[in-house]
Amino acid sequence: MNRALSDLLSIIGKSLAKSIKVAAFVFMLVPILIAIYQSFLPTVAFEAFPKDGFTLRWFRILFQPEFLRAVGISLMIATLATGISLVCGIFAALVLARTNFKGRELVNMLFLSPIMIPPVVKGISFIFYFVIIGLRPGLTSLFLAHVVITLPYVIRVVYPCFYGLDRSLEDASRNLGANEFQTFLRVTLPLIKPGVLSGAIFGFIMSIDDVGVSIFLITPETVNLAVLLLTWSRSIADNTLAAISTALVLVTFAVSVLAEKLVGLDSILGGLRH
Amino acid sequence: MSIMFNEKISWDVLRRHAGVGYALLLAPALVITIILFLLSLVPTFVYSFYRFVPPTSMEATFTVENYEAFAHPAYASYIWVTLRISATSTIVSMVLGYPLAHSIARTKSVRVKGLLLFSVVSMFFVSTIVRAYAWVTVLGRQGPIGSLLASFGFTDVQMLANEFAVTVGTIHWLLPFVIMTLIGPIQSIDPSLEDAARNLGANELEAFTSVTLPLSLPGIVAASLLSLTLGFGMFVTPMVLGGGLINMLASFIYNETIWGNNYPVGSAATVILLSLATIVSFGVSRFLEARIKVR
Repeated sequence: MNRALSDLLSIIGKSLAKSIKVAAFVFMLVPILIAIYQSFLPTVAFEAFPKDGFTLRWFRILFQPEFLRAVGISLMIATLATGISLVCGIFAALVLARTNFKGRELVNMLFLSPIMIPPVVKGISFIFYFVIIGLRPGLTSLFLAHVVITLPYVIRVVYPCFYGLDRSLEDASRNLGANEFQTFLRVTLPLIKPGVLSGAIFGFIMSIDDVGVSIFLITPETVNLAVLLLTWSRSIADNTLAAISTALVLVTFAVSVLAEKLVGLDSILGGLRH
Repeated sequence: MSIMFNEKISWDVLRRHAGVGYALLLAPALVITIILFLLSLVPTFVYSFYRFVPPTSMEATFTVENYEAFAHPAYASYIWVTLRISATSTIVSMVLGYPLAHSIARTKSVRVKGLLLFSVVSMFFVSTIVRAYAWVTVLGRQGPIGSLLASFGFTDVQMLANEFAVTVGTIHWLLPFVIMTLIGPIQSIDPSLEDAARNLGANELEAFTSVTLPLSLPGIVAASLLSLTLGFGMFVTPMVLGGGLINMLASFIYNETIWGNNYPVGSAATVILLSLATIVSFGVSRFLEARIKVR
């Protein structure tokens, strides 16, 4: 290729890449900012400078019983499901990382397979299956389904932590007279703490955010936050949902900052990688 | 001699006990995954071959008519819409995401890198519904774009409740996944290779197309396949931004089973969606394995 032409293309390409970068950033963040801005506007009509001034009245929804109950159900299910998944997942990850039994790869694949399966596929399969085993829709079935949602994320995030761990510390603990259980609790667990925390954060967020599975399993009494918001997004046409979005984005931001402070972004990245 | 003999025995005993201990530790997660997840897929497979008896029941038999229904244009369109939206969103997300992932992977300043990463990760943490709803405020008739267009006299521009809105929302949802998947492979390319290309007289574009792009190809393929798989299963975003008019497979399954009580057709659609997702994600692992072997 002609040298001058190639150099020109290179310059164009470079500035194009730069503008795409900015565009991608704007594309990701600006809609959220607009939704937040919208939550302070008196009507759904977007005004850069509202003549009636800003309002906080849409935020009243945050104190409404129906909303609070949904938040409570989501938090309870997420806490229980993530708790169970952490206990089972940490042990499973430990075995996967430390043994080399036949079929280990298969078991690993089986553990992670729920992640790659669309939520709706899990949801519809759960209702058919739960009817067969005699489990009615309600908190128990929601909880069990959310254990299936959270467990693979916990295993995937915790698993790599066991590889970076200095096993001589465990040997030292045993040599000093601690038994297996004490060693695990006092030495191993503190060493893999970042992984456990990001596993917990991941599981929790996946559970709170789930609609595809939960929508099949809820009853009118057990509507969780995500399903309630989906219903409202289709039925309420004012700025109520914008106000809830603002609140949720603030919570998310706090969680992200906390997560970064506690465990760092690197161990969170482990959970995002598929 | 006797000490050695004892040691050997105690090691054997220990190893045997360790095996039992490990099995016990693995058991809870394995039981949950098999009993709650793997077995739960069985009825769906079985029902997909049953016959629908309107209005709400089904007949236990073996028929492929639920699958044949998807040869009919009305039903086939659900598959096409799903494939079209996933494919378009994947391509746009790759184009939008690659430059950003590249600069996150190559930024030397720890601060800037941390800040960029933080934005993408926290984006991922924001609720799916909030992200879809944000586009309702942006694309709505009275939103910023709508009112701008109205001030120029274009009052009948419909930007919501169509495939465009769903595609935009899907791209927005997929973008953080794509960026996160691309960062690793780009980061693992030795920067000195690009320097070498430049020292040999290549300009930025040539260095990129001859070194960085080919070497990050495995990452590009992995990110595209992941993005496709996630796109196939999109449920919330089409519901919020499609206004009930754009039905991808996931919302079709929900509507057929919950509102139509047609479990057999819903199950067949589920098996089709599951097959699409499995084929593509199987492709991911195969491709990555092949790459590792080549290396």
